Amino acid sequence: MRFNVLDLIIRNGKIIDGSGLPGYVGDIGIAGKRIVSVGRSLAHAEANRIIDATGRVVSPGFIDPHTHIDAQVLFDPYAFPCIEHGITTAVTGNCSLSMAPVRASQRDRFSAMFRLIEEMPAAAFEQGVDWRWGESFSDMVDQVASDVALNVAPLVGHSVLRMFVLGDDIRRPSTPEEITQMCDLLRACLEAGAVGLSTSYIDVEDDMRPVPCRWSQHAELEALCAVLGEFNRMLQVVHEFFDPGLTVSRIEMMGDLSRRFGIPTTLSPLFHNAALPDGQNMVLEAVERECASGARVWPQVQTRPIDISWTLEQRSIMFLVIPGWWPVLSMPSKTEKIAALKDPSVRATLIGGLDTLAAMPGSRFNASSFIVRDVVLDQNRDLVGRTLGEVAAERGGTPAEALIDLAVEEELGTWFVRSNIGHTDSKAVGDLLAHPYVHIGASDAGAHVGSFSTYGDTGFLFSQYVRNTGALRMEEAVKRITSDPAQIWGLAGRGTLREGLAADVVVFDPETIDRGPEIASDDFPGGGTRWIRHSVGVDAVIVNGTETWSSSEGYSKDARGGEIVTR
Amino acid sequence: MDAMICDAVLSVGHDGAAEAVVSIRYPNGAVRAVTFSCEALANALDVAEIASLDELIGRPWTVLIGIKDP
Repeated sequence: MRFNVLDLIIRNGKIIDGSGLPGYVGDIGIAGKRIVSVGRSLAHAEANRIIDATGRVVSPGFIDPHTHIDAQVLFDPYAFPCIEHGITTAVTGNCSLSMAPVRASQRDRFSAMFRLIEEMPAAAFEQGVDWRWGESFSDMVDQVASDVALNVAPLVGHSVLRMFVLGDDIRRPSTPEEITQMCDLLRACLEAGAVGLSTSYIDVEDDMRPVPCRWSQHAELEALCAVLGEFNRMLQVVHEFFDPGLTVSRIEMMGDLSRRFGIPTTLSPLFHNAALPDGQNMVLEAVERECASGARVWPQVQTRPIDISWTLEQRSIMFLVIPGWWPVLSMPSKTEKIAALKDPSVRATLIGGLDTLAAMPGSRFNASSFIVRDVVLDQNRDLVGRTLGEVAAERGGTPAEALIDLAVEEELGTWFVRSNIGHTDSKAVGDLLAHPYVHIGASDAGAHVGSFSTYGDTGFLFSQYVRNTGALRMEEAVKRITSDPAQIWGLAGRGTLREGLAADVVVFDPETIDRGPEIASDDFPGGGTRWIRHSVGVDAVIVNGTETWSSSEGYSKDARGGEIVTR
Repeated sequence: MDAMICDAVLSVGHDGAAEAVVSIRYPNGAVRAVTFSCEALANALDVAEIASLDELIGRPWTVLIGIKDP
């Protein structure tokens, strides 16, 4: 076949097409938004742009099935820094919260809920979100589609559906008439491009009472699932992830809904907890039982480890394992705590407690590795991101003394973090990620931004679980974040490098792809710090044929290749 | 005989907050682990005058809901 001038040729890369089959060296041709050639030599073809991918992998764009970039994408079309990690499609609207349909009179309540659950700074939300689309889901999706650099697959939130129909009197069961109205509203959202419905069994509003969807009776969810069944669309559930027994019950409920209404379901997050060693097997066995009986239940597992963050202002359960600390942090007032932390004998006890813990065989509890996460005083801003070992070396004294001194200096407002505490057992997590019924995801990108970075999980998948542990082959890992999510979520024309499909493509170095170090960023409107990671080893990211990011040029100005992929 | 706490360890939640996983042994021998956030557990610990997770072990489960160990 001969081509007219192509828009883009990616030449001589190792094509890993998302199918899981072995990769091979060849060329990719792109015209407009589509892939027009896969594998055959395009050595004599002409193109407006050629990327030399020698020594690189060329794969489909990665699909992130659990994000909270809903608000961000309205003021940042790139959803920085998702795209540089190879993410070309993001599922939004998770955990029962979507930016529409929301009545104008309910925006304040919704905003408070969204900011609390997703830990988004108030100033960023208030300055970045102008609600210019109005109230409807369709208009909100139009707004996103008009100015977006990555693909979006938007869920509609059960909580906002309920708020829209029930009004402010939300903490009660719905009437049959209201259920009918919610079903009609959900149907309209699905016709406008919603990829499914999200609901939650754990989240709370800012007064610590359950979010609106948690006040519903099961019949309401059943009625909504019947509507999802008309469209073969997804039900996303935030389950009781802290309790394997409750999680098993929730999986059985989801299996029942999946079979009865013919819908796919997914629950997130699921992670390995060393304190609950049997939990992982209990949950996976429940998923296997449901799938064996014909249900579609996909547990989402994140790749990255979990950190612990804390201040000395509030009590944290972490201090129940350090001898001497809990009584001091339980003092009723900040003044008393600070006085105690300054008292030489109390300080000696606290420092001794930390030293004792650090000296225990196999202990990973060492103050020198604690990281300063955020500070109150500008004069200490340069300490952010540094370990207490480094701070102590600079200021003199021990890391434990640096911890106490810095906290006292800032009237206990300093945030610290212990990195890589949970979901770190590489064998257990690798087994989870490689399990055929597990859906790799649950990144939470865009959430918890003030506490830790939720970006770079795909790079970590390759660095840790392909290169370091070998839990997955490269081709398997690519499949799990490309064609698998496309199939699971019904994203037609995505997830595979095949002629005629959307030109969502990533070019990366298989020897170096990774997530970069966690760094502070002040890019959100309204100031304040959030935590991000840049990509490592990603060369280029193409969204619907538009080269949107490259390691040499960064983000392409005015690249707006994104679409609503369910329209 | 009451269900008794047989283990208590530090864990970490999805959102980066420290949690306690407390295992309870029932009179029939069954063991069930329950996860507690700091908000859920702190007051009960105050009532029981407990200052470390190890001190929970061997106490009746009712300590976890703020009933002082007799």
